[in-house]
Amino acid sequence: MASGKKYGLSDFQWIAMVVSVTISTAIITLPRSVGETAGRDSWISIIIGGFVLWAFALFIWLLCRKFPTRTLPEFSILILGRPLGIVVSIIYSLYAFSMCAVVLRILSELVRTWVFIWTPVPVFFVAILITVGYISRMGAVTLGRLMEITILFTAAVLLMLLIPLPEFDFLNLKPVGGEGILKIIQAVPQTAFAYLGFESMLVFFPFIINRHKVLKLTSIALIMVTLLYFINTILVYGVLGIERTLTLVWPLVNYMRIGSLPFVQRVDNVMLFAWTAQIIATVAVHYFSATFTLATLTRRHYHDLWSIACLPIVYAAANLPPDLVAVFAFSDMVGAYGLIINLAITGLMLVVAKIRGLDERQEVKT
Amino acid sequence: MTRKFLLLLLCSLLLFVGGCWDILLIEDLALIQVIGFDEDPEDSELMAVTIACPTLSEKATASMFKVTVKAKSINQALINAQRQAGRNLVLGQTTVLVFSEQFARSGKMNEVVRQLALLRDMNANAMLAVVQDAPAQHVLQLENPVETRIGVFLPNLLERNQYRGLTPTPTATEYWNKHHTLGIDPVAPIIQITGHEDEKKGLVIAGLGVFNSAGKMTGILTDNEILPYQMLSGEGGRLRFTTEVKIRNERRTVAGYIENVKCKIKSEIKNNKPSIDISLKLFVDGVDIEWDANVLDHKVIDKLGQLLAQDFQGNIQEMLEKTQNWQADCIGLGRRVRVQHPKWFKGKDWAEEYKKCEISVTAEVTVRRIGTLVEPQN
Repeated sequence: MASGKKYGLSDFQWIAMVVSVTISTAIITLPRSVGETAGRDSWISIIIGGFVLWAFALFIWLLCRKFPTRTLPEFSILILGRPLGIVVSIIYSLYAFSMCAVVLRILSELVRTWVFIWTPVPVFFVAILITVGYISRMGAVTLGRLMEITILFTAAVLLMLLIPLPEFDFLNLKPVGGEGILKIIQAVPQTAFAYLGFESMLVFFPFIINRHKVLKLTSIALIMVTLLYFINTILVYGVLGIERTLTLVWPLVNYMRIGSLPFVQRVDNVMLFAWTAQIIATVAVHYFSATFTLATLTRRHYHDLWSIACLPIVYAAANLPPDLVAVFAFSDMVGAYGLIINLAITGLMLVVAKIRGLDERQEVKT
Repeated sequence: MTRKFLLLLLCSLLLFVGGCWDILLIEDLALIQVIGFDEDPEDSELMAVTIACPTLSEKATASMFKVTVKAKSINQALINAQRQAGRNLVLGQTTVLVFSEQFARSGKMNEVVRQLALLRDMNANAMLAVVQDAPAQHVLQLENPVETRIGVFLPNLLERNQYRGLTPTPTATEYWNKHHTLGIDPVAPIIQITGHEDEKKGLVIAGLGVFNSAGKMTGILTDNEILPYQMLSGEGGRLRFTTEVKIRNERRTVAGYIENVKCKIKSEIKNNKPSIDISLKLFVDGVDIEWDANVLDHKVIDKLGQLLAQDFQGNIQEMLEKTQNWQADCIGLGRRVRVQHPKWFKGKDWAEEYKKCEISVTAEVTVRRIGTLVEPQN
């Protein structure tokens, strides 16, 4: 195990980490992306999506608890053999880097659209990646502590969502179920990107102090995220109406532009600045997962080196989409393939481990 | 050494903290407070856009910098105005958008609000106003003796009237949301320039402009009709009323506050035509009336309640009939029909259906108290 073993992640740190890595940029576009299929009933799709992704988290937990002291690269090699284990670990790392790139790029698009129109994109990338690289080198426990602070900060910022509440109208959400069950179900996959992130459990599981409580803690975190997405969608539809929401590229930002505080006129700008911290947290967790996986493949000797060496990969991937349309296509692709890859990796390893009778807990008992 | 290097790198991030790349000093900004929109009399494709910004300088001879430009779009207008301004024009502090009646009736106002909704630095909470019988630029040129800066006077006028429950003051975002939402149409307050022919320096709120689903202003609710609108729409918290009721063949003036309005709207589809039943429960307080009756008698209070209910009922019905003729559902009855009969509503042109709707109104008024005298007229 790595240096994190000695201290470990506390219960709250793990909840904070799951929440931080899950809620990122998707919250800003979710009301539109889901609304395109499910209309006014998007909030039902979001709740169903939460349940589905929770079931996925259950699978990951079932796998991880078989190998409580090992991370993904370690137990993948143990289960699938060295060559296949390495391939699986590299695929996971590439997925995590893609997530970093997507989130980073969407943030830069968002900030350039609303605030810094003339600031070159590399400025955002470099500024955030340096911070992420620095955080990543500090190790899992430091990351956990940072998440603890970030989540409290985010909770305070989320209160700003209530500012446009006087404009809320329930009629915008009625009739409930009017779009039909089929459309509600069809919209569920579109929530995938929004919920991805908790699969970092594959890497962080051994770092958690109370491993017997991981499922409970992860469930709490996912309930919090689902609730947040649900509230966000309800508020945006209730205030802007579904017809207007579907015309907006960044519905949450348009929502936040309504109303003001006596000391803050442009609440949307304040939220955007504050959200940058949340994005850094998301990117940092994914980045650490990826570099730590690669470092474990090289016998955990070179994590510091991997942390710096991989920054250009994320930078290049974030630069890949030439325009906003390509950015959203990239994000949909990463969301869809990410879900499939993680599901496939977890399912495969779970089945093979069962067939081969591999279970670290039983080994410890015997 | 590595730590020092990293520390240096982290410190370099501070360079970006203040957004220094896009530096905009407040001293260099011209904060547009009011924008006026008129049709260009010479070219129907062009509009005359007038902007007013505070000069914020002790050396300036006027309190506001005003400039009028002609353009096809708001973006072009801003570029043209910038050519005449020594500071960077910004829209973040824009509080009121003024449109001429002609501009609003032609549907161009709708187009401008759409264009403004696309501008990222625009204040989404800017209020709207339509000026009757005068160009919008005349409003921007006004110098009221109480407050010479139109950028301060006009928003104050609108805000205070909204606070007193006399008129709703929708923002550009509210207008645009309503325009987009099926089964509801937007409104905007109507203002008029007041004063002597040679010295027009005042403004008065004269009604409420009602827009149809195509974004054209099709009618104006008079100041008396604003109250029924507010009762039904739920906009404007502290509603005040003043009316006349007939008691023993004598018309008596009644005034008071509407404390609470409970509105139930039910709809039915009869012969492929919607029939809407509006039931209102109003609670009025602080009533003042010239009446030689004992106001501590329950029968007197009930009688006044019935008279007010009849009056409100008639006014609401009248107001709704007007909006039906204008094909502008400013109350949002269409939304209720959509919710209650979604299958019927789907694919229907609500503007057409609204005109054909049968609407019945029943009002019930509960008077909480009448004045401070036992027999007001004695």
